[in-house]
Amino acid sequence: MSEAILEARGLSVRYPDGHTWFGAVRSWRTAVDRLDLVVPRGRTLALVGESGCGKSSLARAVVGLQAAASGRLLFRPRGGPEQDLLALPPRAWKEVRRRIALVFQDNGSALDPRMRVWRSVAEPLAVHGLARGRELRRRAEELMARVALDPAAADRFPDEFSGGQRQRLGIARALATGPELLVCDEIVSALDVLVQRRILDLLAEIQRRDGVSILFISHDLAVVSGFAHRTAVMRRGRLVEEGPTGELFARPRAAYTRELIAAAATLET
Amino acid sequence: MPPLLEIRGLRLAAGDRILVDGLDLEVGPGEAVGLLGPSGSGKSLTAAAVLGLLPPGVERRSGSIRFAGRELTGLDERSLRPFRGGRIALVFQEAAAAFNPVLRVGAQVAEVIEIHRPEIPRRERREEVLRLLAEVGLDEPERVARSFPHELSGGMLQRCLIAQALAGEPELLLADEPTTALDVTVQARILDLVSSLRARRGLSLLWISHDLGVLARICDRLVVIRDGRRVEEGTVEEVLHRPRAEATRELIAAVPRLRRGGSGGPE
Repeated sequence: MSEAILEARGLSVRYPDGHTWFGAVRSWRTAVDRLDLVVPRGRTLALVGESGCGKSSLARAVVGLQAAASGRLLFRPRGGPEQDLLALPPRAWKEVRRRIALVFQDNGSALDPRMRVWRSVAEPLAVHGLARGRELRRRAEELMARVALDPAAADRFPDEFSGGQRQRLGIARALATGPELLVCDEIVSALDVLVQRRILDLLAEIQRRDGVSILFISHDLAVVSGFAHRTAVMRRGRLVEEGPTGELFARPRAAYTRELIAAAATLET
Repeated sequence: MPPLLEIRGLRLAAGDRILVDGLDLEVGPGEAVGLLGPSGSGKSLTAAAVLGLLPPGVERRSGSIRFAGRELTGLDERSLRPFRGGRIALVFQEAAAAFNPVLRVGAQVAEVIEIHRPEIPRRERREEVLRLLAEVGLDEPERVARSFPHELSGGMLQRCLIAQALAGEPELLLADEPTTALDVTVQARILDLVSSLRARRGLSLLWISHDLGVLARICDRLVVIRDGRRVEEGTVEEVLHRPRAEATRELIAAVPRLRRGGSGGPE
């Protein structure tokens, strides 16, 4: 296996589950339980499992949105020292956020409805001080072209785009700072099969061209089986099994994986 | 036998944009018909039109919608009431949005019984609610009935929504992508449930989805639409294995297949 861009070692994530009247946490729920996992550089690792298995909590930990995490979450940027994302001082996060981008399910609501789309797409560039003035607009149009959207539509508002197009805008925005790792949380689940296919082809092409690594979270096994290089199966916060996608689907070792594959197979045509 | 639902030349438009363009569709008594098409093809609008629930700005320009021989278009709200949630029930994707968050689930199922089956006395309604919740495969109907929507999982809520739909003893169930947001294992169970309910109650189904796998599993016949027009119609077997329209072939080709083996990575 190639070198790891991201490695979780004994990663746990928990949530406050009930508060006292004074706002103190009364109890905790464990969403991710001592997980060991590797995202290989330049490849796609899929994370599958049913709702509530902890896959989205893991994604949030990777982008620093998960406060109560323990263990180690090692990020190895190109040409830089290894960093433990769980022990990162707040100041250092800004630099890391430039290198790790999150795309999530509902980009329609993630884009500011009152902002022309080019401004949304270019926003990360402005935030990180990577471009300004007219350069911002030029870069936004470039990014739109990269995800096969017409740059001439740059002045439109999000509600003038279809669901699939808004997902492309989300990807364009995520690509703005030239990230090394893309975290995709259920990004094609809500889309119809035609649009789904185009978005997956686009991601594969971006990966081939830029060598970006992808952590692909999905509950759709059929999509994963034709897209990810490696697949990890999670259940109740624990890792059930992990391996090369083809092998894992052909010869699942865990009963739970077999169950998931069988359920997906009954929906095959 | 005459069809239970008969849509002829339905034309829906928003301003000068035609959204559904002369659609014909029939559902026979006890038949399960799948309406297949990509996003924006007019599937959901067609279902909404049946119950007179078109979103603001969208209007019916022409066409007729007959249910059990009765013309539904042009009926006022009052005359539509026995059909909505009664003889025709609607189940849609977001079960969480369908329930009132501050009322217990049982009370919301009971409300449908109260409106559409006034012959059931108040003291027997509770029993009927529990019976319906058990019928959709919920293990602890008592507990579920007492729960608020946020206390139940997505799959459980979707079952409650089906129980609520059945509460009015419908003849036709309109389902708009009701399983799309669910995990595959839950999805498979809900589809089995609907198939068995259909057999048991002689229910007719109009099932709307962009997911061919789901439709193939529960429908007898498929109608494929694209850009508001019907492009193909036939038995599941015909449409799946001998599609005539290019649009159908495209949809079939785009369905992600479960690949077992291979080296992994993009196809």
